This record gives sequence, structure tokens and C-alpha cells, in this order.
Amino acid sequence: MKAIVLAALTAALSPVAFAAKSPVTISDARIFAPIKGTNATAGYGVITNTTDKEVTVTVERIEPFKAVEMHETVEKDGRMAMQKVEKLTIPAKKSAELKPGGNHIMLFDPTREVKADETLKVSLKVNGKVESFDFKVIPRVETKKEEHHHHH
Amino acid sequence: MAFLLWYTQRPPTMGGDFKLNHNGKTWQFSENAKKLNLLYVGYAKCPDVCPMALSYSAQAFKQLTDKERENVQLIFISVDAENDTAESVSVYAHQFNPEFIGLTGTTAEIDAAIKPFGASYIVEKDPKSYLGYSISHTDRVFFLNKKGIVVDSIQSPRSADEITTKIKENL
Ligand SMILES: [Cu+2]
Repeated sequence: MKAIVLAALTAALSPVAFAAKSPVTISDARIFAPIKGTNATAGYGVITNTTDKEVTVTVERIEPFKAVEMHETVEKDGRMAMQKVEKLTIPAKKSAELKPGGNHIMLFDPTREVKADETLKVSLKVNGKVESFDFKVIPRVETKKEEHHHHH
Repeated sequence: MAFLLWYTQRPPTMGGDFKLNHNGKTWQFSENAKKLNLLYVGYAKCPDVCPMALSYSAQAFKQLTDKERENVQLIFISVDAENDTAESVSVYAHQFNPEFIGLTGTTAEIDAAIKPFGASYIVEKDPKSYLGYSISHTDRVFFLNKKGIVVDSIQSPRSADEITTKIKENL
């Protein structure tokens, strides 16, 4: 209810309608549908700090995954290594891109099947306050049109 | 003199035959080689660079003609001897493209297989992570001829087009 009021307020006050009155917006928010043979998948997107102060972002929870973490892929002695990132710090008016080979959200062990085209609620802690963002589930491998035998 | 210069500047030959486990059976490269063979070394629980490399490669395969596709295959070697089974790696690779071959083996077998390609990995304990470990590994698509010799490679493949171009160049 509160979220609806907030959204309505934001929509009324600003030409751009934000999901909530959050210091950050997320674009291109996507999670790859988990595939068989592994219990891990990844999420990406662009987080933009719309305020004129630095913000910190941590990933809290994504249903139905048992665990989520922020990781960074870094090159170490010619190899790609991953290390856990405790929090993202985004300077005023700047964006942080979560992208392949860089920062990414890691998701482990879904408790149910997660399919492409679903929308998952991602809980991020922005400046210590938990906020929910929609991430779209997309297939790992793009299916080309000619491979579809039936169209919708 | 010119020959000597060419000889000394020539990159050393990398690659060769190797043997690993495919779905519980021995898989020998020389018995299964195609005209062109893409090789990627990683692990199934890798959430970032491995699946990206495999999905870009899968997209690249789709951009080939049927004739080209007949002459090329991709081999994914999992270096996670402890957590990936031959069956799970095979299932994993298949989902990117039914023609992708997922292989693994014992640590000794994996090490012997990937060393000639200059590929390497390190298993690192990571108690702060849910998984408890991560594996740093070479992020490179190797292009092998029928003999397993590296004829080309792409460091950190981040686009399907780049892979498609290299496949076509080397076929
Ligand atoms: Cu990897």
C-alpha cells in the first residue's frame, strides 16, 4: 500500500516514474535462467545513483534462491578469478554496471524451477535500507526465430 | 638468416592429443576430432565467464551454415574434479548447444589434458562464499585443428560475432 502511494506520488511529482523513491534506478536488470548441471547462475544490470551523494548497494535476497552474493571477476596472473564484493559504492550521479567479466550477482540453489520470462523480486540494501527491484529472467542461450516450430 | 629469424620468432606449437571422460566413457580427442575444434577450460559452477563464453559460442554456431557447422565442435573441459561429474558436465554443455561436448576427469587427467594448451587453473577456498570455493582459470577459446594443435585463440570472448569470424577464418 505504502509502495503504491509512493509510486503514485513520484509519478505525480516527476516526469519520470520511478518504481519507488529510491536513490538508485536499475536498467537492463536480468538474471540468467538456471541450467542443469550447475547450481549457480548470475544477474546483471546497470545501477544508477540519481542523487548527488555517494550510495552503497548490497544484495540481500532473491526468491527462490537459497543464497545470493555480489562477486567481481578479476584477472589474476592471466586467469579469471572471482572474489566476493561486500558492497558496491556508487559515486554521485554515476552508474555501476554489473556485466560479464566484471561485477555480477551470483545466485545459488533455487528451491523451485526458475524459467525464462519470469520476473524476480531482488532485495537490495541501498544505503542500509532494503528495497525491491524487478529483474527479468532471460534464457542463457538466445533462441533464434527459425528454431521455433510454433509461434505465439 | 631470414629463415632463422622466422624460426626464432615463430610462436611455439601448442596443443596435441588428449584423453578425458565423457559421460562415463573415455573420450580421446584424436578419435573424435573435427576439422576445427573449439576448446574452453572452466567449471560448471562458474556463474560468469564460463557460461558467457559458452553462450556466445552457441550463438556463433547458429550463425554458421549447415556445412560449416558439420566441421566444427566445441569441447568444454571442467577442471572442477571435485564437484563436477562427467555426467553433469555433459548435461551442462549440451544445454548451450546439443553438439557441445562436456568433459572432465581426475585432477591428474585434467592437468595432463590442458597443460599442452597453456591453460591453467587454481582452486581457491572461499569460506565467505556460499559455494565455499572458486576456481580461477584461463578464459580463452582455443581453436584446434584436427591434430589438436592450436591454430588460433580468443582471450575473454565477449561476443558471438568475434567467435563466428574466427571459425570461418579457420575452417
Ligand atoms: Cu569460469
